[in-house]
Amino acid sequence: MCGLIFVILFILLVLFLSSLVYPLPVNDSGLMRYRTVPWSTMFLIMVNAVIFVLWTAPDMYQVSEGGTEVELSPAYLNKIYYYGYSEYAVINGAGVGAFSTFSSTFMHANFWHLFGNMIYLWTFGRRVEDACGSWRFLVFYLLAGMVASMGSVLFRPGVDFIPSIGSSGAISGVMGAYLLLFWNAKIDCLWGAASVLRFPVALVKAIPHKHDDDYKIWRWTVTVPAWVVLIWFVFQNFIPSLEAIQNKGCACGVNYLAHFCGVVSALTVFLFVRKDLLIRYVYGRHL
Amino acid sequence: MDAQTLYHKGVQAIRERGDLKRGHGLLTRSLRHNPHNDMAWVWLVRTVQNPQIQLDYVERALRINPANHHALHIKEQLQTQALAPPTPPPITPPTPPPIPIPNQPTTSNPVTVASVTPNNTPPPASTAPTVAVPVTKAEKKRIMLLMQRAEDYLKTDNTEAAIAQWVKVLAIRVDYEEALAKASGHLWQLYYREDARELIGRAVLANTKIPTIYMTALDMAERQGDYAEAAALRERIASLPNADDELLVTVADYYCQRFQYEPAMQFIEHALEVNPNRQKLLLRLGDLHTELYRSQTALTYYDRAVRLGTRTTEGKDADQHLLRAVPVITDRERGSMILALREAAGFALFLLVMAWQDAGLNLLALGPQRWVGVLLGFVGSYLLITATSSPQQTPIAAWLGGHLPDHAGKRKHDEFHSKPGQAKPDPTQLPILAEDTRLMLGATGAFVLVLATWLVFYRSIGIVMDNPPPYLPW
Repeated sequence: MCGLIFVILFILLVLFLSSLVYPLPVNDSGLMRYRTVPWSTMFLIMVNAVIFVLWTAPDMYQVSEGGTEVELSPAYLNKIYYYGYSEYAVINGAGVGAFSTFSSTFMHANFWHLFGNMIYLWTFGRRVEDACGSWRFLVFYLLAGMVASMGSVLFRPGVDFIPSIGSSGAISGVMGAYLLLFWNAKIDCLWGAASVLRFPVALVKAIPHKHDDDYKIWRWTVTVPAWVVLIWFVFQNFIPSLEAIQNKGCACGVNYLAHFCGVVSALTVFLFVRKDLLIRYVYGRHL
Repeated sequence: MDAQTLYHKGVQAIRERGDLKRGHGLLTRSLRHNPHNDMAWVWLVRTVQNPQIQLDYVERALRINPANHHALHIKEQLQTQALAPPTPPPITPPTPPPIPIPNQPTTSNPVTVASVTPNNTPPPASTAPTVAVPVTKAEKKRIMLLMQRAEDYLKTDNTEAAIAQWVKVLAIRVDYEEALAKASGHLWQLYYREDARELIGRAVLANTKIPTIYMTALDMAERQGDYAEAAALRERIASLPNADDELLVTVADYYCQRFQYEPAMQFIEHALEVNPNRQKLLLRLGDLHTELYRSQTALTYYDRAVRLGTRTTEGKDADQHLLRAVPVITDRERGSMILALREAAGFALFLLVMAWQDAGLNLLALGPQRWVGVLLGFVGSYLLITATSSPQQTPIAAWLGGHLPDHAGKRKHDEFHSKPGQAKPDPTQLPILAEDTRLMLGATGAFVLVLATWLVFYRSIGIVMDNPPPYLPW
């Protein structure tokens, strides 16, 4: 029990520290028009978590032969190469062939990889799912994942063996769709620096609000326009993507090109969005 | 009172009591109901002093009955006066004709303003054209001259002469707005109220397209407590294709101020039938329905308003109303085959990307089997979509034996139980596929989709079925 509390506290501390400078989107405060439970988003988060916890994580580490250090186990690496998406596997039918376009989307390299992706999926996925409907959202999510994986290979040929895993390509598609559909929405971000900077301002402003119980002087999150968060995300991925195309890869361990292709795949969301919302969108109205 | 009774009472007032004012009022009302009574026009001559108006009344009587000897006699007198020296003798009133027996049927059909709708041809009220007919150069010159003369008379406080000039203008153009406004305004101030109404009424009967004239007529009718006339005029205003939205909203608000919401809504709906692209009216109608807690109906009007554009204040306002509600789905979207095909295209694209990868990321190597798979995927997903989210496509729903959904009871329930943000779609007039048909289409579509998936992904399915050994590139 103590161990679990320690782990949770540790996660919260890391989150707070990591979000001191860079905002971490944690919630979409917009209206869910259809008041639906985001079944597909929750299902995707659950499947990703279950696959990681029950299938990937147990084989992840092993103690080295000398017993002096912890290293990645061959079983884990084999899973990555077998189910991960690589040019070699797709073209030559190695591993699970083109099925890796789906399998790789549900695999994560470590806890923080999973956690980061899932928090973004939770933040942006619910409203996009609300706009599409659960089944269409699921198809869109998988399509975005496929386009992201495929794009990262087609634009960067020759990096044939290195597999890529993770749902970030598909989630980038969801984020791109969010940018297209709800660019004017507001996103609650965990952003330590902004919270600290807001504090003195809120303190002064609190004087006329002293009888207002809802007015909070200290807030852990700050509200940021969605377009700011998302365009920054696109920009962050665009430059390294160009670099990846030019240099045939990036040693950073992050497939920025897949993220960027995922964002581009968001254009297909108009094939999946609800017809009433689409008409609303066509007429230039807020969604 | 009917036209005939009004006529009798008017004649009695003039002949027996010498009450010209009352007689004028009663005769004018009689003529508003039945402008084809030539003798009413003849009697009306006695009630006014202006020779121009007198001549106009006589000519009207003669147009109805060219053999009316009273009218001919008066006309002769008036023409003689016109040629005579400046101080004319007073017009000899016509010999009172024998008063017919009350309620005796007349040959003419009673026509009221209320019956003069765009669908009914109005009675010939005046030979002078309305603004709908372009003004000639000569007419324009004459009008300008008369208007100038009227202004000159007005400066010398000779209001009656000024009025005479404006009436002359109205003889050229029955709804010349400025002349009409000034003439009727001064007549009203001088307590010649029936004369003022008469001038306005002529323009209305001539089917003028100028909304302000109707508004003036409406105002006058209301001031004199003629509510039936006022109601008829509102109907006429609603029928005007060029009426300003602001004006129409003002008329609708007149009802609202008296808590007459249903007539207000009927008025706006009538105006919208004439011109459905009136954003301000749509917004007002939405607001009225909101005030009456008919949130669902209100949303349909807000939606229509927004579809006309969101750059206007009304569009933005309507969009704000819709922002917290589920978007309204209309029959246009429900019945659209293109929107259904769009969804099917999404699924087909999904299968195409799958096929592309299955072909080793070489689009040219897709082969006929995978292309057939993509095509089948399109067909299968279309069937599935038709069965689920688009069962009211036109004309497919009708072809496949669709029927109109029975939503009457449900709609009533929804009106009273809908919560904010949980609006229901507006009632549909499109046939919907039967449950059995949808089930069959859905099952067929699902089967075709499975087949399509196998066709586009057959290589990868084969790889997985063969259970290849794990590999490491080193």
